[in-house]
Amino acid sequence: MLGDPPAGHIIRPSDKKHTHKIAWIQCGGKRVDAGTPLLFKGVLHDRGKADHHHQRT
Amino acid sequence: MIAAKQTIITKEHDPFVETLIFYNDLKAYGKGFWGFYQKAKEKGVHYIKARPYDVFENSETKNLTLRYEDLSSGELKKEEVELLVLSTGLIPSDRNPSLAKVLEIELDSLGFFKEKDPLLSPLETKVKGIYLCGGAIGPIDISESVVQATAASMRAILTN
Repeated sequence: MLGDPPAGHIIRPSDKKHTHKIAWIQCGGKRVDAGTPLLFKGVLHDRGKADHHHQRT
Repeated sequence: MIAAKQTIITKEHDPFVETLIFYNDLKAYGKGFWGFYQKAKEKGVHYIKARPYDVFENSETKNLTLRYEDLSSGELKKEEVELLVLSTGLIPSDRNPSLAKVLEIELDSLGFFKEKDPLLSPLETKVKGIYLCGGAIGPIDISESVVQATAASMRAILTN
């Protein structure tokens, strides 16, 4: 992350934006549902879907 | 501990970056790990005992909102961040079973190589002359791997 490619800047891989707030989630793969960690499934693009997802889990 | 290391590096790189670690349980089991955790906290890393349950992206800013249960208060909260890093667990190589079969040594319930007796005969296997060290036995840091490698090679020299 802090190696040579971003020239020493802490950037977000998706849009190369300079990041100022970073969160780490421990045990990221622990919540496994049929092989896919739930958190990966949970990356949704609008709140409606997120609420739906919440009800389902 | 990898997350602690990454936050410390991030803070050393840019002290103004806000860093948060969402954790369930913290095990500072190795030598110097507790001090390392304290160092991360001194650097301003926020440790939050929480159970995150979902995350969604703001399509304009591309920021991520994480929703979680705060385990210290039981409240449901949310936090908007710019970057999210998942600290995943370590799993044994899927080729371990075939190697164990060839060498006629055992695997533990997780699929790592099994020591004959972790207390009485550490690094030894059931087969004389075959010794284990490092990540073959389970997740381990570099300094401890070096100690084990030294011990295992000493055992190998003394085997006769």
